[in-house]
Amino acid sequence: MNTAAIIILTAIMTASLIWVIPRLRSLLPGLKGLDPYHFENRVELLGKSIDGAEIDVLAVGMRGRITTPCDSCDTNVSVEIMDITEGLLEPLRVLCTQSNMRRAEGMEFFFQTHNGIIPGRDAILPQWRTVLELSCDVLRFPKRGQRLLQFTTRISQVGTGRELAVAKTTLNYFVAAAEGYLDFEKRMEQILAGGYILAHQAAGNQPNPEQQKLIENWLNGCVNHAAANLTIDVHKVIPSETPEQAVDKACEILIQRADTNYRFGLIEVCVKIAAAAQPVSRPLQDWLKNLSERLELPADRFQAIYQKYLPLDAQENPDPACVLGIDPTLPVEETLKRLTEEYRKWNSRVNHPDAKVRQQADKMLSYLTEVRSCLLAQSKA
Amino acid sequence: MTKLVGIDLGTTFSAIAILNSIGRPEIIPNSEGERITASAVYFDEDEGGVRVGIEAINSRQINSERAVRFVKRHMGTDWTKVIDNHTWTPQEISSLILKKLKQDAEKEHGAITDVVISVPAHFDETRRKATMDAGTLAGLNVIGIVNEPVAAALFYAASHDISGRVLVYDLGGGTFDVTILDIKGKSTKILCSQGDHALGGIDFDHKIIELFEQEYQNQCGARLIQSDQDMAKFEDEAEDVKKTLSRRNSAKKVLYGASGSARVEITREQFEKAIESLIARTEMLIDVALDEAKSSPKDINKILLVGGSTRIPMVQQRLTDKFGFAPEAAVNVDECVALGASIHAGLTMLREKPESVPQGIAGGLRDVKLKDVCNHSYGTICAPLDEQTGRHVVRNTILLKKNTPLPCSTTQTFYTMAENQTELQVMITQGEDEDPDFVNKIATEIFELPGGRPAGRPIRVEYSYDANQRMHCEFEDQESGRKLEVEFCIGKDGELSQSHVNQQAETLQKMKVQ
Repeated sequence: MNTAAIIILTAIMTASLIWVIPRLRSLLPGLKGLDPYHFENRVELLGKSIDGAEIDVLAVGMRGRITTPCDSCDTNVSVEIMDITEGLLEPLRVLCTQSNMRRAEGMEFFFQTHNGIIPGRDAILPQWRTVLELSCDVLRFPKRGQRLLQFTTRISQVGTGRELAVAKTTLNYFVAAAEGYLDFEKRMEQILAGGYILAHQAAGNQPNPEQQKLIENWLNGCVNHAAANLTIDVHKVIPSETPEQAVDKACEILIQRADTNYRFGLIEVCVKIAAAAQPVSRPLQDWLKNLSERLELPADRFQAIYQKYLPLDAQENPDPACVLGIDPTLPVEETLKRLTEEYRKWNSRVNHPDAKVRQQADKMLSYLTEVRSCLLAQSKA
Repeated sequence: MTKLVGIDLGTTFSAIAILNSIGRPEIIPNSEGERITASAVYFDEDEGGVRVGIEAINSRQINSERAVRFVKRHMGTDWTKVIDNHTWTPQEISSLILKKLKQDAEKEHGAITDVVISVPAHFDETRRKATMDAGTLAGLNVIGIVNEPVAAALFYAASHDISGRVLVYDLGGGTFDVTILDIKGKSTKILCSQGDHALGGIDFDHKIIELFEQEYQNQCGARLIQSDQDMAKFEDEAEDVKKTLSRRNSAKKVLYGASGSARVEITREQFEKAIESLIARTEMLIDVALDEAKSSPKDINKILLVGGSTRIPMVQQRLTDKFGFAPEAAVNVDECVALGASIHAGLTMLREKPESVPQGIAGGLRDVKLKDVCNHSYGTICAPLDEQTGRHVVRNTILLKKNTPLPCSTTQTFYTMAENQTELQVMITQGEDEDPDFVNKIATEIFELPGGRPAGRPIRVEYSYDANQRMHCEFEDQESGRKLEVEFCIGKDGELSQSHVNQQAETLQKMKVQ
C-alpha cells in the first residue's frame, strides 16, 4: 500500500512538474536563471576595411527562446540603441545618418527587419544569429569619448506589433568623432549666435526689411544644414554689455568653433547685408575688411566676395584697401602690379553677356585707372 | 580667278583690300573715290533704300532717328534698332556696310565672295560669330576672322624688313587693342593680345562734347545737347575739334544751341586733361599685355601705331615716355588692318584650298608666316574640392589658356559626382575667372550617360583650337566610349541658324545700298 501510494504520488508529482514548469517558464520569461534557453542578445565590435579605410562595425546577434501566441507566427526583429552613459534614467538618443535605419520621424537610430515565421509556439534559437551589422560611421552619438551604449533587440508579431521577446545588452564604446551631436548643437548655438551678432552689426544693428530677410534666410539655411531645429537666445548664448563687446566675443567664438566654410558664408552675407542699404559708408567698408581679417579669412577670397556683392556705386568713396586689397605700406611697384592683375581680371569681364556684370566691369576699370593715376601722382610728389 | 579680299569692319570707318596678282595687298577705294568708308548707315525715308558712308554721316543730322553709327559696339548683344517697323540687329546693319564695300569693290574687280573680316582681338566667340553672320548676310563667304592688330602686324611684317619684339598699339574709332608679337623677316609670332571694348575715338569725342557742354553752360546758362539730333550734330563737331587739336594747340568753334550761340576755344591742354583717364586706361592695358608676354618696356624694340586715334599727340608722347623711344606710324594707320586682312585671306586659302590660289599670289606670300594664339581662355564648369573649406564648390576650370599658340589642344579628365548619374550638363565657358558667374557660357549641352554606375566615372574632355580660330570640344565617357562633340560654327547657341542667315541674306540682297 505504501509502495503503491509512493509510486502514484511520484507519478502525480512528475506529471505536475512536467505540466507546470513550461507554464512557469512562459509565465516568467524574465527569470533567466530558470531558463537555460532564455532570449538574449549580444554586440560584437569588429574592425572592417571598407574601401581601404578601417571602420568600426557593430554586429548585433540574438539567440534563445521565443514564445509565440500561435503556431506559424510571422515576426519582425528590431534593434534600438541608447546612450546610457549618464545613467538609465537619462538615456540619450543615438542618431543615424541613413534614412533606412531611422524612426519614421526624427533621426534616432531604429532598425527593423522581417524575422520570418516561427513554426511552434515555443521555439528556441539555439545558436547566435546575426541580426544586424552596422557601420559606426553612420551613427551620431551625443558626445565624444567613452560611452556606454544599450542595445535592445526585440521580436514582435507582424500585424499586431505584439512584443514576443526582448533582450538588452550594453557595450562600452569609444566615440572618436570630432564631436557628438549635443556638442555640435551647443557649438551651433554659439556660432549661430555669433553669426547673428555680426550680421546685425553689418546692418548697423537696425536692419531694414531686406537686410532682415537676408539675415533670416541665411540663419535658416545654416539651421537646416545642421539638421536641427535650433532656437537661440543670442544674449544668453553670448552675453555682452555693449555691441562692440558682442562683436569681439562673436569673432572669438567663431575663430575657435566655426569652420572656414561657415566663416566664408558669414562674411558673404555680411557684405550682402551692407550692400542692401546703400550707400555703404566708409566706416562700414573698413569694418567689413576688418571683420574678414578677424575671422582669419584669406584676403583674396574676401576681395572676391567684396567685389562681387558690393558694386562700386553702392559704396561711398570706395576705399582701395577694401575694394582692391591694397596695402598702403606696400612699395609702389608692388601696388602697380596688383592693379595690373585686377585690371586683367576685370577687363576679361567686360564681354560678359549679363549687362549688370558688364557695367560693373566698366566701372571697376575706370576705378582702377583712377587709383593708378593717384598712386603715380603721389609717388612723383 | 579667286579674289583674296580682306575687310576692316571698323567702329567708325571700314576699308576693303585685295591681293594683287603678285600677292601685294591694295586698298580698293569706294564709289566716292575714298579709301575708307564711314561705318555709318542711314535709312532713307522716301525711297526705302540705305545710304552707307559719308552720305549717311551727312544725312544723320537731318534725322538722327534713321541713322546708325558705331554699330560695332553692339555686335553680339541684343541691341536692336527699329526703323519703319523693321527691327534691325547689329549683324544686319553691319551687313549693309559690308554690302556697300562689296558692291563698290565689285565695280572694279568683278564678283567678290571669299573674304577675311577683321575684329578686335578682345572680341569673344559671340561677337566673332555675329561678325561672320554679318558677312554671310552681305552675300560674302567669310573664310576667316583675323584680329585687327594681328592683321596690322602681318602687313607691317610683309612690307618692312624688321626683326624683334613689336608692340602694336591699335587705338581705333571705338575699340583699343594692344598686341605683342615677335617678327623675324616675314614671320610673325603673336605672343598676346589685350583689348578694351569701350575705348576709342568716340570716347575722346565725348570728352570734347563734355567741354562744349560746360562752356555753353557757362556762356548761355543752358544745356547744349537736348536731343539725339543735337548729339549727332555735336559728335561731328567734336570729331572735327579733336582732329584739329592733333595738328594745332587750340581749336575754335561756334556752338549753335537752343539758347543762342557760344564761341568756344578748346586748347590741347584742356583736351589732354579731359582724356587723361582714357589714356591711363590704355597704359594699364599695356602693362597687362607686357605682363602676359613676360616682357618689360625695355624688351620692346618697336611700337607700331594703328588706328586713327593714334594721331593724338598725347598718345604718342605717353608711349615715348613709357618706352623711351618714339612709336612708329610706318604704315597707314587707317588702312593697314584691311591690307593685313587680305594677306590673312591669302594665307587661309593657301592652307585650306591651295589649288585655288593663283601662282603669283602664292609666290608673293611664300615667306609670310603667322603663328597666332588663342584669344581667350576656354574651360568648363565642374565641382572640385575646395582646399580651404573641404567642400565641393562649383568652379570654372580653364582647359585652354589664353595666349596658347595655335593650333593647340588639351585634355583633362573629370569624374561624375552621383551614383547612377545618367546625364551630365556640359558647359563650355570663355573667360579667365574661376567664379562661374563671371564667365561667358558659350555652349550648354546634355551628355547622356549609361545608368546603374557608381559615382566617380571618368569623363575625358578634350578642347582643341585650330589655326582658323575654330574650336572643337569632345566629351568622352571612358567606360562606355560614348562621346559628345561640340563645334563652334554658325548655327549654335542662339546665333543665327544657317537657313535663317540664308533667308535673311536673300531679303537683304534686295535692299538698295548706296
